[in-house]
Amino acid sequence: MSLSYDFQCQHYDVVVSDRCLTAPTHEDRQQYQALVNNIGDSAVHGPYSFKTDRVTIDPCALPTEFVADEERRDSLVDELITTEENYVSNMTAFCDIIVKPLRLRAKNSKNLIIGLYQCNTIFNNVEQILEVNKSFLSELLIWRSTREAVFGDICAKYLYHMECYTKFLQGVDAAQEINAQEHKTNYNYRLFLQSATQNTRLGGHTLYSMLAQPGQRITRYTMLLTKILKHTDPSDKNHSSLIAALKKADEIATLADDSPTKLAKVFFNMHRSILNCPPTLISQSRTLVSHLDAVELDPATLRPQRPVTIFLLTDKLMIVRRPAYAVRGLDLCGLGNESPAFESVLLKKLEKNSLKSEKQLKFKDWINLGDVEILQGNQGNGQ
Amino acid sequence: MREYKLVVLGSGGVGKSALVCSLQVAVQPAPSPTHSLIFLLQTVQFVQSIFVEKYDPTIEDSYRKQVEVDGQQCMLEILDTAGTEQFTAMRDLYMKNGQGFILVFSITSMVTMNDLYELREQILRVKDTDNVPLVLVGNKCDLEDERMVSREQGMMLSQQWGGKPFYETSARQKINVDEVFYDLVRQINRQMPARDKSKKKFKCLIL
Repeated sequence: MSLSYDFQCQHYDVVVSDRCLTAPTHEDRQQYQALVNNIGDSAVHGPYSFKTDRVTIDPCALPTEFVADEERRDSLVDELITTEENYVSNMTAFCDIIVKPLRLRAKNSKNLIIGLYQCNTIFNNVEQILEVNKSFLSELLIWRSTREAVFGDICAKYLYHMECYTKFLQGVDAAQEINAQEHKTNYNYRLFLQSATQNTRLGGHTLYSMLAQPGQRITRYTMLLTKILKHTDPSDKNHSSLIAALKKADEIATLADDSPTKLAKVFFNMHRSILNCPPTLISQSRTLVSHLDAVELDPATLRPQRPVTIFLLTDKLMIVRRPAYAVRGLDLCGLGNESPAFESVLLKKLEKNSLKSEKQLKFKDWINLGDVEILQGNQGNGQ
Repeated sequence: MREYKLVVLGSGGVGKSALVCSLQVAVQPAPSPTHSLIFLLQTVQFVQSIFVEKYDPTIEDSYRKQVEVDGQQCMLEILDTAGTEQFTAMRDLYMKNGQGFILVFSITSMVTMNDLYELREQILRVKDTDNVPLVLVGNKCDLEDERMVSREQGMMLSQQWGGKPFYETSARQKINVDEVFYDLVRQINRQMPARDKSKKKFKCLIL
């Protein structure tokens, strides 16, 4: 946040931990809200994005327009609870009918249908997810009959517990893949699923659609909570906790990695895609500050020699050869796009060696930042 | 029976869920009158108040529907992506497993059509091919008075995308809904013909 006072013409940056915005206790959130109210919340920005190089304005922090409609709000809350009931009953049936028997049989080599590894990849931590949602549902049901607790607080509490969804969602891709593969090759597996899905408790769902449900549920929370918030008076005791709950749901649905993972991913991708790149690049003690697609000039004649990309790290300057003038260095090392799928496509190509070496970036050299001398060229072509 | 994994995508409020449930009603009538109301689901209520009165939240987010296309029984597994509008990574997950895509905009809003460019780009990137079975759908064609996107604009976009089919539908009045799904199934059939299981491989046994 930055606040400015005209008479002083002085800018201050106040950095507030993300935790404050989504603090689980009511008091912490009130304190944060009081701070924001003092300085005006139009000044609140969201997290800094490494890839887009900008600070995004956090939609959750922006005041939403309040529309009083008690009836609508009640029906939305009711919908959240009813759909939660359905979801929990679906997931319970899934765990009872498919997950448990397969896990049990995987432990016994005589009896197994699919191995332990396959079991763990397909089902991941689905039981953990079910436990959280079961408790969430039971508290919601108690709330519905007694109205004693604060609805928003229950949502906030359990959405915090739903961090386990992140693990599941990040693995669901591999899960679907293994499922499809086993389905194709494993006759017993196919037979087991065929008879299991006949069970009416599963309501005609297949394993494929059951694996998709947790992801769908998380985005339903963001939809429903946004709508409920719209009809919640900002002075209501539910308001701040509902914002915290929504923020958390949003965070889970974004499938964002934590910062060490993000950092590791950036360097891992660079290491994989840049030919001859030294493995020591991968380190948690440095970050990529910036990059520049440049042209190497001949020092004597100042004629362009070859396209290069310069990566500025916090401790080093790395120079790599770019295969052509027209391509962007960032695209070639899997960092040019926000989409994780793009990275995986690139990695797959690398694995298959279908990306020819002349189309790859190639490591030239790197030096410590302390050894860099900046010279101003004659015509301002500083190198 | 062959299974088809279809994914319905589009901006919020264009009627994705309404479209899916409209197919359901059309193909398999509900067993009892109370049940026939159940097929309006989650997102529908965000779209129009008219739907809301019939809304019942006892609904699932994915649908298995058995339909007959060109004399072949097909099992459609349709994923409704409602709520994923702002979550790119989440959409990736749906796209990876999808075989055919229904891209929906609302004819009452130009923005919803423009949003589809990015969605299509994402599909092509995720599937890593230029030719993906896909249908462009302009929903809410019953709201002619509020029309902001002309039929020609829809046609043009579908031509730009390599001559993909374009349908104007009304989920509410069940206009053209079945055709969208049938067309997609046919595209998948053309692109990925089912392996002919009737041809048996004979092996030579030497005794």
